[in-house]
Amino acid sequence: MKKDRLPLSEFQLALRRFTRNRLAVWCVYALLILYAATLGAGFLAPYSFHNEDRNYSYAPPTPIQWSKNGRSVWPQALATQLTFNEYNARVYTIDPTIKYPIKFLVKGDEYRWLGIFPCRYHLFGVDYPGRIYLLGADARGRDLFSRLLYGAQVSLSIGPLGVLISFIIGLLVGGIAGYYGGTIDNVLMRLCEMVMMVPGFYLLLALRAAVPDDFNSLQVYFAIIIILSFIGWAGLARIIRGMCLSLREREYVLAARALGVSDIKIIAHHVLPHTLSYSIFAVMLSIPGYILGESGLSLIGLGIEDPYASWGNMLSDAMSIVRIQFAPWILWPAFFIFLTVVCFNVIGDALRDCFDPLLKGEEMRQ
Amino acid sequence: MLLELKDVQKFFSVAGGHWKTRPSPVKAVNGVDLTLKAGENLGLVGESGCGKTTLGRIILKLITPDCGTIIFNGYDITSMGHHQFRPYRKSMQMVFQDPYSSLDPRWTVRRILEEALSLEGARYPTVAQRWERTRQLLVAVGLNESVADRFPHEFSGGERQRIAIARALMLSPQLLILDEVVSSLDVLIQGQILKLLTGLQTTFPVSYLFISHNLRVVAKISHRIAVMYQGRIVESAPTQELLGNPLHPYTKELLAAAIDYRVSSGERPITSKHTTHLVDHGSGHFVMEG
Ligand SMILES: Nc1ncnc2c1ncn2[C@@H]1O[C@H](COP(=O)(O)OP(=O)(O)OP(=O)(O)O)[C@@H](O)[C@H]1O
Ligand SMILES: [Mg+2]
Repeated sequence: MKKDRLPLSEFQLALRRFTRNRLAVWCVYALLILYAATLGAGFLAPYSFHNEDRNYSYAPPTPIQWSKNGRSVWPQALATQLTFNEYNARVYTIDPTIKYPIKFLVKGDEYRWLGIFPCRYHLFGVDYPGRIYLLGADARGRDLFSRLLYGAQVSLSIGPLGVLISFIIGLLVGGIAGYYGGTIDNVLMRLCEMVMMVPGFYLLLALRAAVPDDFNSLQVYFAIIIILSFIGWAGLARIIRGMCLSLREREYVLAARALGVSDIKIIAHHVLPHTLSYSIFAVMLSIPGYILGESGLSLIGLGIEDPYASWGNMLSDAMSIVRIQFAPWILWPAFFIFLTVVCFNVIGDALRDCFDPLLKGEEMRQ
Repeated sequence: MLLELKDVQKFFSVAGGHWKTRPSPVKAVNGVDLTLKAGENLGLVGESGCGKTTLGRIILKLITPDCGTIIFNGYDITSMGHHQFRPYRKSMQMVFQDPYSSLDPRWTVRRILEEALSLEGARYPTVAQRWERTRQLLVAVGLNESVADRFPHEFSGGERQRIAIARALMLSPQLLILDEVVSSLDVLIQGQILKLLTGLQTTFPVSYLFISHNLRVVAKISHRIAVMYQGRIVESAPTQELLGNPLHPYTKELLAAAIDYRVSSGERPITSKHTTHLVDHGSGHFVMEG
């Protein structure tokens, strides 16, 4: 117990409890790195997402030479030579005689940083005609690493944006239903049930079918967000409605009313914070659903379309087992989807455990 | 007269059935007359479900009564709007029945107590002043000031009740409704809390409306006792008078249960029809006659 007069805020206490969960902290770092990478995607990626070279179709990761005769040297990307074997399959052989030194802050494809500032500099790259594929290339010889970064911009932003929208709708609908009860509650909850009744993916497809064909990629992106949040809000609304319904009967709410605290303050201080602690992990735990939803749509070609990258549509390359055998690196997007989903789940669980002296208190009562 | 209730009534409609087969409403409070003088403690006793909590909440205007009048300090507060009622609100407070749900579990004790002071911003403008008042109340209810930064779940039921009492006294109310404050506590702690409550009246000029189902507990703290049965007051008298000379059969039954008072046979059956009314038996003793 601190002797200090100033009490730790609830947030600080929660933070302290959270940091005790090492795994969750690592997940936070992992997500931070991923999100930071999406911000600097254009700069970190050596190529733009549509820079292709058919000579490098499914090229393996470029070998990099770090040392020569036991001495470390400036890293050099070795050239690969494409030949075909007797079955007409591609064979890449390393050609150790041609080397391209890796350069930093090189000029390359133009991109717009944060979508606004045009810029040509990339963190690293090699001189023409060499190409560097850190993680290999896809069918059209596009750099997988670059496309992963650009794809992350879509895949990682759709979750939080979608959740934000459905959270606002859910909070409003759930709050109104829970607070007023009666007929309003009935109507709103039946509406929720109608949305929840239809299996998510079919609803997703049906709604996607309603989106006009001539949408450009940005419009499709927002259409997907709205479709996903349309599916997602109902669950949240029901949770929040249930909580408001029981919270407004709690005796500390009555006590605050007895003191003359205004309704707005009661809702803001005594009701919503309680729903927040539950819904904050509900939100964290529902973000993966949005990411997977987008991936699913993109995977079957209804989401973000080529040449734009999203982790889902990059995976559509990996739908054939032969291709996976030949070029296993096309599974990288799956790895990142998995990583992100796991991170959000772990953080969501950790938040549930830590945000709540309430939970502990209630467990003790039982 | 600090508090006066006239024919207060509250029915709860019950869910289930449709408009024809719907069960008749629960008559939680069914025409209650009650008076409480300043400086007097009134005990309200009755079995579980007889409407005691509902009555307490009606007085605080947490529940709107179906009909009846509530007069507080000579002002009719029944029909007052939310805004008008504000100044009276802080003159009456309540300690709630369940010490586990009456304190916001995510607030520290300090924040719980200071919530009341935030409504009196003019009287307690600085952090230091608010803390001074909080400390004063914590000490008054017998808690150490070091508990201020702890959360409710770290306390026992008795300690929670002390915190709830401290909160209710923060704004120096004239009337404090104590709803089953000791019912969930063991006998030893019950005694301590009752002693605390009596002691507090020497420093705080507050009257108690002490609600309990336990006549023995009520008798310890009340100057006068009102017996409630099925939403109605069936008997009310000064404590000694009621204990020594119970007239209504329900009171006798309660008394028998509480202090082994033997009920003589051939008594009237317990009635609670709405046509009945309280009859004065002298020296402030009122009984409901069939
Ligand atoms: N909000 C409500 N809706 C419907 N019925 C209610 C409501 N509140 C109370 N009641 C009913 O009114 C009756 C009186 O309830 P109340 O809580 O006032 O009793 P009580 O005397 O305080 O009982 P206890 O000693 O168990 O606390 C009960 O039958 C209860 O079911
Ligand atoms: Mg009660």
